[in-house]
Amino acid sequence: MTINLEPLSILVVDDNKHMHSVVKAILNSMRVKNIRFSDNAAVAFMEMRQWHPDIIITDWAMQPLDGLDFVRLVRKGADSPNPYVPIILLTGHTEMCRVIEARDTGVNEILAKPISLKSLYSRIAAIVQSPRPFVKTKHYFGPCRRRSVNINYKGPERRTGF
Amino acid sequence: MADDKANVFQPPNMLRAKVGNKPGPNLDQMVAAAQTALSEMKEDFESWIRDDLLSLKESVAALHRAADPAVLARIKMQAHEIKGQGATYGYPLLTTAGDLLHLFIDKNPEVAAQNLDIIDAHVDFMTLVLSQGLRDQGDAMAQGILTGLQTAAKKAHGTTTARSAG
Repeated sequence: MTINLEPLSILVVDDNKHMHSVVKAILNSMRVKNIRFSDNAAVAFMEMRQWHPDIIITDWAMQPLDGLDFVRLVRKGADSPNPYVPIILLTGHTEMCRVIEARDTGVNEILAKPISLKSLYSRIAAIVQSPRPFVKTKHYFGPCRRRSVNINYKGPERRTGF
Repeated sequence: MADDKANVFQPPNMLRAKVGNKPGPNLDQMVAAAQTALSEMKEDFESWIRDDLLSLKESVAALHRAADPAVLARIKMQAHEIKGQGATYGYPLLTTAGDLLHLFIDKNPEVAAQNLDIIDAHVDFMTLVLSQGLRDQGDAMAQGILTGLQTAAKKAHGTTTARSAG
């Protein structure tokens, strides 16, 4: 059984306006209609003060502010309207070092281009159905980067909160 | 690090409540709807990818006129965009070629700037893909050219250079 995504609001940030049309077509096919688009991450950040998306989908390679700069603003900016908003990063970068860089910036999900309905749906469904806890350390704030937890771990890096 | 204590907490799941218990459409139905919507955009895709390639060609022409690192960086970005869009627009070979060109510049921009003929060859291949309407990733001629591009790039960079993270 799939999730009814119709009630969700989604902000899409991509400086390639053609991608807006592609993402819109895919989201509309999921019955998501409440979508706003921005081709500038700084403007999108400002817009978040007026309009509160349930999920953000952002491209990585953008100028002048790139996708990871945007994620840092949302997660750690003193004036961030919602540091907890789920963020899906769209990227053509699939090298492991890039994926780790994105993960360490605080994205919830990474989606490699070309995007498909199934791949996007699975990321949104994961965010809705199995949201990961948030972690705050001196160097990181964002969704838990671990996909599994070893409850028997007793070492010095044992987390508080579980 | 031991001095980097992690506080873990679970924010309330507002989205679960928002979507409720009403099921969504069947996944296959959603996929079919997306395929229909995207196929209706086919002419747009054709026009967009041609515009992207034209922009890339203009940048490469500018680089031929003057060795400007900013222009080379723009070409790398444009190649990355073509990598990202090519398959979506029905040209997976453009995704591969865009990826190769992006990697060629990313690995060592100085080497790339000294080998404009290799950049040209990538662009020529992209032009061929569009002019011949090559949508089949397995096309033998295309694969042969891609192998040639990879060999040329490897030779220009030398086989011992490590890929940079930039």
